Amino acid sequence: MNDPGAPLLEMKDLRVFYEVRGVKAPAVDGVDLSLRAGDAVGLAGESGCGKSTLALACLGLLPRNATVEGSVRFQDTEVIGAKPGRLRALRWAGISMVFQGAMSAFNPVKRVGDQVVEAILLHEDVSRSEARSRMQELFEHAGIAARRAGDYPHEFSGGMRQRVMIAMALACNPPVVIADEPTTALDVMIQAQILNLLARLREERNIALLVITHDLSVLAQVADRVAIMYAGRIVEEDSASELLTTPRHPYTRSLVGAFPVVGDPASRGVPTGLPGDPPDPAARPPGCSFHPRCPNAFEPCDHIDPVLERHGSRLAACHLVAREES
Amino acid sequence: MMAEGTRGNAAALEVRDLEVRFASRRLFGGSGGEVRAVDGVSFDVESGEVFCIAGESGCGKTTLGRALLGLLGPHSGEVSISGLNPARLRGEELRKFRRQVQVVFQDPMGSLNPRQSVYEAVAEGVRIHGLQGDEGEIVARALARAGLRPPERFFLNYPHELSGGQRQRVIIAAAIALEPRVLVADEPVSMLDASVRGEILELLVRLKDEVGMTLVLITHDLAFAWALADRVAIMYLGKIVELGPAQTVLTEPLHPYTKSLLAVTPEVGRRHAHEVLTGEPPDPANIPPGCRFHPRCPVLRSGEAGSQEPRCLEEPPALRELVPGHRAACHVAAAGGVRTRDPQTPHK
Repeated sequence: MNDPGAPLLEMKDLRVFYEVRGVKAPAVDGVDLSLRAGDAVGLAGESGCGKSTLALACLGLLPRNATVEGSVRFQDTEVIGAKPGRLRALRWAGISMVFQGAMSAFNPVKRVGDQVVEAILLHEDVSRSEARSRMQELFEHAGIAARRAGDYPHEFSGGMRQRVMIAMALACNPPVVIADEPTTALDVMIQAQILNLLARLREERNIALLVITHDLSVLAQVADRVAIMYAGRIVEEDSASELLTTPRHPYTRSLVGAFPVVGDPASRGVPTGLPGDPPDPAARPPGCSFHPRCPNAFEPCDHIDPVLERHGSRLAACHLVAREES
Repeated sequence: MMAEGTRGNAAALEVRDLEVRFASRRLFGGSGGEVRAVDGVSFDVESGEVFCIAGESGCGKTTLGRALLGLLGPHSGEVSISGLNPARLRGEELRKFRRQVQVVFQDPMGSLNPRQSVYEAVAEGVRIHGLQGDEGEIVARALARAGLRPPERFFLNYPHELSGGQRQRVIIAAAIALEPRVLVADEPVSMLDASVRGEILELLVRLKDEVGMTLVLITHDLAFAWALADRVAIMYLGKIVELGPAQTVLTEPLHPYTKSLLAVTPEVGRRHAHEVLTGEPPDPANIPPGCRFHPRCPVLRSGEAGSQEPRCLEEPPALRELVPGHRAACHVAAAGGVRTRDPQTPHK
């Protein structure tokens, strides 16, 4: 048995490069992140910030034009450079993933219950009837009626399909679950149901949960710790309650500002937008990569790249925060 | 149904007892009865107002939006924009009407023709409606207004070359090029990134003031309604269950359904222990008797409905003005029942 306080999943100086037109562009650019049993960490940022690439790297699922540097350790296994057989054993049983758009994750011509049973049989040496009874238990846990195991994927609504997806992710009792935009494209009421389900499962099974999303209001509901990613790097990190109520990095501030709060007079009226686009990973601006869009950029920002520094519980990579602290 | 009290401004949009029905068909033919997607809806939207229609999937908000555009013929009832009713118009007049109401849909990729350049996408409507003036200038002005500057730089781009936010701007440009009186935006930001969301919302509000449009927003996101709307209509199973100023509907809701929706609206910076309505979104092919919300109603379940309970089960509640300017369709609220002022703690 491992030390309960030791990280289950630990990324150290993780870098992922995509080869685009002969240029090695960093999609993930030196990320340190770790999860212990029972942790719920949220990773947020715009499309293209590298958050989904990071998830794929943890599962060894990157496309061929990607090269990886640094380390991703799952318990005692180094994921980076691991043999295909080792990776197959790791997926589902070690780290499993809940994808967005659950429809494409299922085989459309097989009953959903059978697909979950197959996933169990593939990874564990159990009898078919044992696998079936575990599947039924998982369905019950995920709030799916047992009789629906015989239905095909198209017979489920978006919310129910996401539940099946979650049941499937838990099929082999993985200690780590990565959920990539688990509720995007779902309705508010269904979203709340799915978020409640994730929170409950994490508690009951002591799962380490990594939730990846662009929606900070989702993270407020499920994550204990939140890291904000911009252009492949973590630019701010703290407990969810601290980070989301007192964001300090100008990028985090603009993200938080994009979500109005009902009842708050300050969010009546035009929400704050963030002009411009995230930088092209192949042509990163000098200095802080956020400076061309930053409303608070000052002297050092366009030539000195800020490093991620600790200020109390907060981690921030920003000259402004560093100046306020000094 | 009574018309709204006159408030000085002329109504840009009037909807009276609107019903839209679909024949639901079973797999392999066979009729499965009728779906009442919009089931008797009336409201007025004043000129220059931001009016928000909110509710869960399947509540009929998108169908209502399509009926406003004249894209769906109503089963009964009327829609009129600046006094024109699309159901009574034909040919040239219908085209003129369509120019007055433009739409922005949720999915910016699906609304653009992948083989059409940005210029063509905006110019198409300008040509169809035979707008006076130089086409190139009209297109350039619309693109610039939608925040694509300099507009010429985008003329020859194709949708796949643009970001999600830019695509949504092209669609908005195509809509405003026609100088509509009413812009219907159906979940205009739900598929966009957090940072782009703010920009697009900002753009819509700025355009409303600059161009003098009336904005009808359709969304499931009450936080978004809070930010922008003057008035909000909450829809449930094809009916408006609550209607009034955004300020009061969203902070002092009268209908239990509105309260449930507010309770699940996620909020940055606060985790709330909320009661989530169980079950799937209700089925418009199978509308419950009495108050159509009663099978899910937390007030009814907790016994707080008291003496109103038999009515909830049998008699459909009418949308009545319970507070000046603020209407709700709920027997319990009408009887002054559970009047918890605010389901959420007020924001500090």
